[in-house]
Amino acid sequence: MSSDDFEIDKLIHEPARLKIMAQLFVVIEADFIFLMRQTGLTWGNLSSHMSKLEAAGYVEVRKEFLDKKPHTVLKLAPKGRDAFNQYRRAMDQVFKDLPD
Amino acid sequence: MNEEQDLKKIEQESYRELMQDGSTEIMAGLFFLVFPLLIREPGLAGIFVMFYVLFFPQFIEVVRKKYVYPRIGYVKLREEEPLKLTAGYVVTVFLLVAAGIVLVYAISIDFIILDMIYRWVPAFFGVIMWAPSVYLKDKTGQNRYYLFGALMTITGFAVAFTDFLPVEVVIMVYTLSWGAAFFVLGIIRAALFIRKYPVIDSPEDDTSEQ
Repeated sequence: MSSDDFEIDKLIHEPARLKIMAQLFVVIEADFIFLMRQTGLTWGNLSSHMSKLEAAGYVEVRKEFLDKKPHTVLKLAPKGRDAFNQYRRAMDQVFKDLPD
Repeated sequence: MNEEQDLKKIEQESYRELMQDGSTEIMAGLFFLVFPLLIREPGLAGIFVMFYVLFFPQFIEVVRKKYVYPRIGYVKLREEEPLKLTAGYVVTVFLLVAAGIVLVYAISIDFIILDMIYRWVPAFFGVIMWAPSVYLKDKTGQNRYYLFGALMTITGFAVAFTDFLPVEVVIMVYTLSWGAAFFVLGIIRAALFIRKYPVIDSPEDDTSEQ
């Protein structure tokens, strides 16, 4: 088995970002408030992690106005979904290959 | 780590969040409360179908935008995959259509009297309600959703076996009672939801650009 099989995506592996990715993986889209409540992250933390995920092309950000107030909706991009699935496979492999 | 299980739990948690507002119970309550009208005036069926199909989803979204999302945030849950046209599905539909034709024929030749159908409709309803019951249990992970399927089945059979009510009253009593129960439960849940979750001031409100 090559070392590539164990390639762990460090961007996803960070606990806060893993929470965000997992949350967005199971829904179609969500806004900042929902993600803050579900992940337990602060606005600043979430915003910072989201910027990294957006820069990597893992998350799509849609900005809109609701009742004249800015509202940001976040969605896992196809690239992010693929990366998350790959991360799951890699983690499965890591644990499967550990000796008892 | 059972990650599939964990992702399922995260999805169930998201679903539970949206279920707290009581709108599902209120909708179910309204359905059962107006159902007796359909029996009294079958001609209204078309209007009711349009009413439920067109009006309710949009209405609920408007209510959620105003009262739910500002409190718990906005989330769009994954939709169910459309049913695949499998042989089992085709056979099931065929059997249901055949059963319907047999039933109508049996009534027309007085093999089954209409009174008997009226009497057993609540029990039939109760059994049907297991479908949303099991669906909601699966979606939320909460066993309490089995409760209304079980209770509606038990009460459906109970009113079918009791003779003290005239047959045309049986369905009315059953649907109106359950309608009122669901509606009140929904109102209570909505009130508790509004009380428990105040509107969150989003930090986005202070910035026009993030």
